[in-house]
Amino acid sequence: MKEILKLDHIQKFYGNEGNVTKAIQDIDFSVQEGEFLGIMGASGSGKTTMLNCISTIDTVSAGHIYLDGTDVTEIKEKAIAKFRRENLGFIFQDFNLLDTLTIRENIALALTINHIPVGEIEPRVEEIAKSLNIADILDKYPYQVSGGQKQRCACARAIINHPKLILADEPTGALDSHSSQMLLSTMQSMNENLGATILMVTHDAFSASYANRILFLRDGVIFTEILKGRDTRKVFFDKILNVLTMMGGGISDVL
Amino acid sequence: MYFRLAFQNVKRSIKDYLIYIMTLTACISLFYAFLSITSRYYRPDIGAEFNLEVLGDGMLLVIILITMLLIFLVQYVNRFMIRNQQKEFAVQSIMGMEQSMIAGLFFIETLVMGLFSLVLGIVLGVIFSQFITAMLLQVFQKPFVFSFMLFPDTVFLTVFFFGACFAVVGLFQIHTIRKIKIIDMLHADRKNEAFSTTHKWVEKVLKVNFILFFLMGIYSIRTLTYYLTDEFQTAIQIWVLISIVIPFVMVGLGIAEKKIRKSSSHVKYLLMVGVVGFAEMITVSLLPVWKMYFALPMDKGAFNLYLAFIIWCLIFLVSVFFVVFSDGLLVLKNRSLRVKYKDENLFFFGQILSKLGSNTLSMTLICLTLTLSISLFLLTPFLVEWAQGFLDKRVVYDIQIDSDYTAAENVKLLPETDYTFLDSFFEEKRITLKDDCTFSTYFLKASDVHGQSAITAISLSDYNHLMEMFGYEKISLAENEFSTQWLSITPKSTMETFETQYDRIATDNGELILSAIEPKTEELGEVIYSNQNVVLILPDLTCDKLTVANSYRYIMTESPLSYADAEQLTDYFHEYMPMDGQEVYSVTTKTIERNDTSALIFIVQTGLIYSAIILFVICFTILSLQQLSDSGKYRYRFQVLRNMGVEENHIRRLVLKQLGIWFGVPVMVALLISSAFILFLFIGFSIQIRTYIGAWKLLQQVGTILIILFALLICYFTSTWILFRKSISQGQEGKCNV
Repeated sequence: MKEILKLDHIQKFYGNEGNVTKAIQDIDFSVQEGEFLGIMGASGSGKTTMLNCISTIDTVSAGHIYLDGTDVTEIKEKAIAKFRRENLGFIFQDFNLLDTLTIRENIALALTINHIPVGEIEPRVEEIAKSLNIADILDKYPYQVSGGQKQRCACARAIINHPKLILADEPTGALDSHSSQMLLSTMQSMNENLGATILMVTHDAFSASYANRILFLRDGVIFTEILKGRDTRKVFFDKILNVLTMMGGGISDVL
Repeated sequence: MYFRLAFQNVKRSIKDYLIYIMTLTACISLFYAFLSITSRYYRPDIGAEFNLEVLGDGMLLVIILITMLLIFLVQYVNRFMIRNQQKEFAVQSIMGMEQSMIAGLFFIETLVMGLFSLVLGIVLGVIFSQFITAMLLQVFQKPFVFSFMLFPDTVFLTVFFFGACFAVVGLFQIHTIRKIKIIDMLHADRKNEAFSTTHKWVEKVLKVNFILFFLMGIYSIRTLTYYLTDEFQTAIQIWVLISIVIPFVMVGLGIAEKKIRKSSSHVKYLLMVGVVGFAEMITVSLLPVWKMYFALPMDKGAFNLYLAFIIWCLIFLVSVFFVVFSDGLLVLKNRSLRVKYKDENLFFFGQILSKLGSNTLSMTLICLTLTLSISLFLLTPFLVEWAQGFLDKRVVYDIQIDSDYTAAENVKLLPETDYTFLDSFFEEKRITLKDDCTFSTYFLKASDVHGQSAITAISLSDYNHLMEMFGYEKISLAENEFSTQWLSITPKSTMETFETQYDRIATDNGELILSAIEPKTEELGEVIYSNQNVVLILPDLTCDKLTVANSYRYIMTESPLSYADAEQLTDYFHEYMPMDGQEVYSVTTKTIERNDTSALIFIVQTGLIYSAIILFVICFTILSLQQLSDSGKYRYRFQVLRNMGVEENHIRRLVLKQLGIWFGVPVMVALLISSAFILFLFIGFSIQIRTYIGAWKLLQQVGTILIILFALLICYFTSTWILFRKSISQGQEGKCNV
């Protein structure tokens, strides 16, 4: 297995002299190709900051981030957008779909931005739509379909360029439980059948239980890490809950 | 406390108010500048021979009427501002502020902005009024001098008028804000409207169009078949046939609407209707050409009806154009994968179509308004120069006394007079005469008296006297010769026809032959021709025994007559020559004519320019706000693009393209139509333009106007661009979610 993402002791500070907030104290981990990694943590634990740093939207204060061997913290301002569209796929809580375009066009946009030959576009959109079960709504507008369908469209858009890494920021945040479940299955199949490497930030234990490995962040550092291994999802889910209980102030605070 | 809050809001959001301030300032400064002319304190140095009181009330009325349009605009801009700030209102109401208090705060905020624009507008208005004074002085043909124009009564009127405007609009906005629900305020910038590409309004326009074309077809059959005889040229006959057939083709399209739509697309159908409409417009536009070059006889009512129909065609075509443009883009997008899937084109089409789809009606209206104002603007120098040029030709003498035998009931009863009774008046007023010519024109035959428009003649010595007055060379004739003097706008062909027809004439005093002298076209006033184009010049001996037609006395004074003297002269004249309901005798002084005509010209000119600029401002403001009002949505959409990895320079290009289309299309269409209109006018009135205006001068004026138009356009385009970019880059730093 290849190492696709490596965070090398990154730190991130906000504020100025005398009033510094350490959003990320020190985070160091790596992601292997084909992994489905979950990042959990309470609000303010630094997970979104970390995601922004990986996605090149924000910069780190110290440390390095390597994506497939390239140091993203060293990429020049001008090349960042190109790097992002060629290597990363995004799934956001609020879908990030364009209301002016149909589902088909929303997915195709990701290809046209990457200057894919015109002839390849339609077949590729059809193909990915079929595998994500949205082929029948391709010609509808986002406001005509359900939240779950929108999010699956966002998944299709994220994966269609075969990015090295897909970053998902609370993908189930705006969905009801049934849609969440459908979406997570979709993501799981993207990971298992399409070979996508996914890094998902969430604070929902149920969502996290779909991942292979989970990192728990607290106050800007990695608190612990658990692996699914051969466990069933139910067992893995219980493990997650245990860790969360432990993290949530710790048992010592209660006793 | 609350006032401070409002004031801080103003300071913080001054950039958001850019459009509001710009529009208000533009309107206020124009209002002030144009209004200052009517001020009691306005005393431009135009000399004693002019009197500006004539201007006052007419101008005031024109300006205030046009400015009424602005209330609508202020209201529109305010609605936009409310929409822009709804999120803030939501936070304030959640914190527990009364909604009426929020409305009050917002009112104060806009009022502060309004006052700011009022001050700025008046200052700018003082500067602008210099241009207006320059314009005024030019109309009165005086050199420009600077005058300071801060007048208390104008300031008061401006403050009062706009204060009332703010108050009325403010009341409306308080009412609006109090009615909005908090939840709607919170989500105001993300509200999704299902975007439609059905243009229901155009169906109505089509229906009206079919009915109008049907009526026009029937009317054409009734009116135009008269021209289908051999009396008229073949070209006209063919034209008649075409202009009868086209309306019925249109009606046919209307009847077969459902069938055609079923078999081909909506866009194709509209294109067909558009082409037929265009053909009709071109056909009807030929009418004035026939009238001009083939002297096609046509009743005035019918002619005007056809001209009005051209305007309808124009309205209809512009409507169809925008719908076809919008739907055509959609078709283009769906047909050509190459265009559709090139770079960010998908996004670009989405942006344009989502906005255009629901705005074709307002785009059509804006385009038509722009056309109207550009045409008004371009028409202004044309009308002004014409009227002024005409004035210069018409009133060439300082004092001009005419008689017109055709206005008298019985010519035989007219007293013969040489107008010497005026001499005592000149003495009393110490008016020295530089040149004075009393003369008569004669009928060739005494029997001509009964005709309404006989050609009259002038004696050679009187003619030479008039020529001398203007420093022209005298002419000489042999005893049995005559020559001709023509109205200066007479076409060459008419003169030539006359020459071949009248190479010899018979008078009561013998026969004369046409001399070899070139026909004369010097400017000698427009009255001596007695409703004809020509007056004949006969030897003095011949004239002696002819019947007198009209008596004239033309005077040049040493120095220009003052306005008061000129008025008294007119009264004095009419005391001696009572009119008795017949306008036989008239006295025209250069002073009064120039003053009154110049004043009228000036009112028309300022009125036209003022309306044109106000209409520009209105159109551009609306165009600009249509783009800015959805900034929340746009911010989100462009953020999505950024997230997907589109470079900033691509985004900049997309914004530029989007605004370019939005401003460019209506402006280009309007420019196209109005330049066609002006070209039409130039060709149609080329003779008058050459005589009264001069093509070069007119072109200069048209150029100036285009510069003003583009300056305004660039101002609005740039500020929209700045605000647009500002709004889509808000919250870009550090956050990937919006």
